[in-house]
Amino acid sequence: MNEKNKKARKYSSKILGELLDEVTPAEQLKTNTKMTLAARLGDLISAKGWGKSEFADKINKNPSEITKWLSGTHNFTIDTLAEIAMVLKMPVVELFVPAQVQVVNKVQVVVTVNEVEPSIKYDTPRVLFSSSHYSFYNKESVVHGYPLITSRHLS
Amino acid sequence: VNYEIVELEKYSGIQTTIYSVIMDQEDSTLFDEFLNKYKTDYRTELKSILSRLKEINHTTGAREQFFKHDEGKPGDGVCALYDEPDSKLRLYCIRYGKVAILLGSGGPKPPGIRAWQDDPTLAKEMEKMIEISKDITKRLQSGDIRWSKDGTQLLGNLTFSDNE
Repeated sequence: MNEKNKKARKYSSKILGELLDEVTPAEQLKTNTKMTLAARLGDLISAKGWGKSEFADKINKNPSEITKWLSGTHNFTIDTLAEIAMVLKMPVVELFVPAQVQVVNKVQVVVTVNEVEPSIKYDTPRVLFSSSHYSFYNKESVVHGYPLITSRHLS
Repeated sequence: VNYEIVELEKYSGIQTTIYSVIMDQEDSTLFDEFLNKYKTDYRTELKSILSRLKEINHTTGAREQFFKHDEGKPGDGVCALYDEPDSKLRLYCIRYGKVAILLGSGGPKPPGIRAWQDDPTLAKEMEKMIEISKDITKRLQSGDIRWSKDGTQLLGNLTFSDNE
């Protein structure tokens, strides 16, 4: 591999492993719940087209409080979740539902054909695209099996 | 300062690549230094930081909302991971979108100080991160290093030295 394509050297940390091993499954689940809830809340606020301050106004809080909520460290009470759900106009339970899959395909296909026999029908192979549906920036949003171009006929 | 950017093997999730740096003449990373220095007095806080980094790495990605920005110079990406409400242990890092972060060191934020400039330990660690960020930006601009096509990996010469 040449220098230009060289990846960073992998480094294994003893102390990191030691401390991570001390995190119990229950502690990890609590962190996961707080962070995914904060991420979901951030997405829902953005989906409404609101900024942090606008949301703070609507829920009668300081923007600094919203920053805390979105930081992934906040331990929400049921009362706060109910207030949030009211403002977002959705059931509380939906705050815990993973975001809808949103696929952003950025695959560009360029087909250059110089001479084409008119009787030939071209189909884009399904398998080519089913493996290409891969969103690098948001890997949870991956849906397989939907070709970008279903079929194409060149004449 | 001479140093090398390395990828932390313990965090090999799919959402975010997690890097740190090994300074010249050292065997361990800046992040290891941070963990070793505070493992006795701030063990619970460190475990919380590590479990949050695990979620960033595996589940959520390095979302902007999880980091306190504008800690360094404008636009340098230097930020701090938000503390747990009852913790004051600051971890400084450089965030590159949702897909990559470089962990540095940090320290406890003493009560009564307003900014990192007011505490010598925090100031020292923050200035280190600002310098590293500057070096990386310079190399990205010169093309000596670049991001992989999927934007998650730094590629190229990741060893930095004073006499460049």
